[in-house]
Amino acid sequence: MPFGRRETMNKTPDMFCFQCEETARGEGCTIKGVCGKPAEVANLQDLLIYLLKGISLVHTQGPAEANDEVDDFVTVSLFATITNANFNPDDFTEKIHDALEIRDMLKEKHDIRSEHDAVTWTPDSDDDIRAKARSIGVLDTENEDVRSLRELITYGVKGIAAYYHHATVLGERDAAIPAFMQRALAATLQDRSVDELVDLTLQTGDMAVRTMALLDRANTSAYGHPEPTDVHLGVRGNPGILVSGHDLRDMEDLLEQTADTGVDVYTHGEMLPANAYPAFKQYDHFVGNYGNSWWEQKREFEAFNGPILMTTNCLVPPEDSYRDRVYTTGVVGYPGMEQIPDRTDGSKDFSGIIEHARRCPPPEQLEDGDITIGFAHDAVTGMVDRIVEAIKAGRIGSFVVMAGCDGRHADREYYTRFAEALPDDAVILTAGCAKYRYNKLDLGDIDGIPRVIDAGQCNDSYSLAVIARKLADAFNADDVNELPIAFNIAWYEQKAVAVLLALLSLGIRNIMLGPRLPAFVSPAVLDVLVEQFNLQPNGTVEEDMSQLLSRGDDA
Amino acid sequence: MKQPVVDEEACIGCGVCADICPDVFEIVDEISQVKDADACSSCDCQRAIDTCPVDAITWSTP
Repeated sequence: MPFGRRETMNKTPDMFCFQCEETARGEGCTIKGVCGKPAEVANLQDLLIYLLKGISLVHTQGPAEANDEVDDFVTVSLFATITNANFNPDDFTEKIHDALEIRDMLKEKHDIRSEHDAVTWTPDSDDDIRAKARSIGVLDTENEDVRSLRELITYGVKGIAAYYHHATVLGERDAAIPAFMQRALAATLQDRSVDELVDLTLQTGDMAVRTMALLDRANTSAYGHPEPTDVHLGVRGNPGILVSGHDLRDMEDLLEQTADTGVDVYTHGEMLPANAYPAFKQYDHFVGNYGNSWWEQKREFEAFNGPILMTTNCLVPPEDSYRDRVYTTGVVGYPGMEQIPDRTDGSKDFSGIIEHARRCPPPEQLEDGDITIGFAHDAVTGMVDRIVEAIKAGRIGSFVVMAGCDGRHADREYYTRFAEALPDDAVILTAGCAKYRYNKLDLGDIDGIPRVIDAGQCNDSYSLAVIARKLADAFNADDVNELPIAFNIAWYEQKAVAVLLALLSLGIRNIMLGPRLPAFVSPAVLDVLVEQFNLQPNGTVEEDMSQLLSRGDDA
Repeated sequence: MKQPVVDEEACIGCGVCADICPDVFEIVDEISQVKDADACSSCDCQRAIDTCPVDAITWSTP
């Protein structure tokens, strides 16, 4: 009975969100997010972002000084609005109250008088908050190109926020990063020309590189450099806890607390790279990886039988059959799910989820065998001589960076077919969950160098840039673009936007991006990206293969 | 023979099903409609059902 729906179609949509690759019809989600986010949550996220921009406008007008409380609030709040992180309206309403308090504290402290609505708007009730949340949003910016750039910057900053948060949890700070995030957010409220916003977009890429470098240092100084590791895909007979998301500190706390309890620990999706860190490999009850990337969680969480810990995105609205086994922590939230509180000092308390695991049967085995991971920059640096030799001998003809995200759409089978169709002398460099489209194909090795060099999580794309630089040095090339390295990147959420801007900032040209270009990139903004960086959309496997690899031959 | 049915109240018109089974589903006025329920020999409607983000597609019981 779509009649009633059709009648309302020309009215204001219930929501508008186009921040991810899967947005409805490649245009925008207007009824409910394809991610499962209800309109109420989408609108509250819009209002929270708006107030974070207000905070940024005030904070950047005050004296240039780091304020960890404000910086961390902005960082964590941005992170919570990333796709598949938090679906709980109460969490956003609470953050909106906190944002108003922080904004007004800063206004008073620095005696800032701004007339901007994001700085002055004050609600009398939660009803006011809900009404305001419905009334503001992305489409308020009427000029399509300005809107496109404002959102491109905002999403890039969300990605930076996620990576900066992970670094701060491990004790690394760099005041320039939150200062930039706030400067960029403030700029999206101001009248800036398209040229100025393009410039700010490129600066966002510079800052994304700096943030990924900081996180790399944080991860490797806390847990050691990832080592080449064969990760088990099968299960053992003990009850288990499945850990998803990207937070390595949570992984550390959980592994420590599950030691000698009879409960095994497995990774899911983007937590797979945890298996390669020396500090985690020492635990005998850390069994391996279970299942695939985030979008297959409904089937895989069901089969796991034990509790699941979601440390960051990507959470998919759960089936009733396993809903009471999913625990959230950090920025993740879902109505009715148990939230494990943040650490005040020391470590998080995972005793509840461990007790829960003990009552559960062991996981159902989904597959068997191993996959090899752990080729971050340190491990690959140790192999550079061998790689250079294989290139000089003609046994390695090209590299293709196939990093980024996975997703639920059928058109991502493209990446499986692309990997299968690569010539035998091509080596894939990867990071992020995009790899699940081809990391179990058994593509073999060349002189002991695996044909899938897996650097880790999405942020470990930084490692790929370091590796490319090292190879360029080995060949005395000034420019990475002179090497036979092609980029065929898959994106889904906003961390991938930060990674893409980072690659552009590093001067990488000719990146192919798919499976669909961002809905938030307007035709004119795309023209700029094409003109300056030769960014291209995916075509067919055959067309793209011939284009990407012939470019390598020219170099 | 079982046939796919779209709950038009639940559908958000994202187009995932029409991507997977273009012969069976089409998006009309931002809602998925079954245009040819018998066309599924050439695609995989179970996959469309599993992938639908709002669980709006089911098999009809004859």
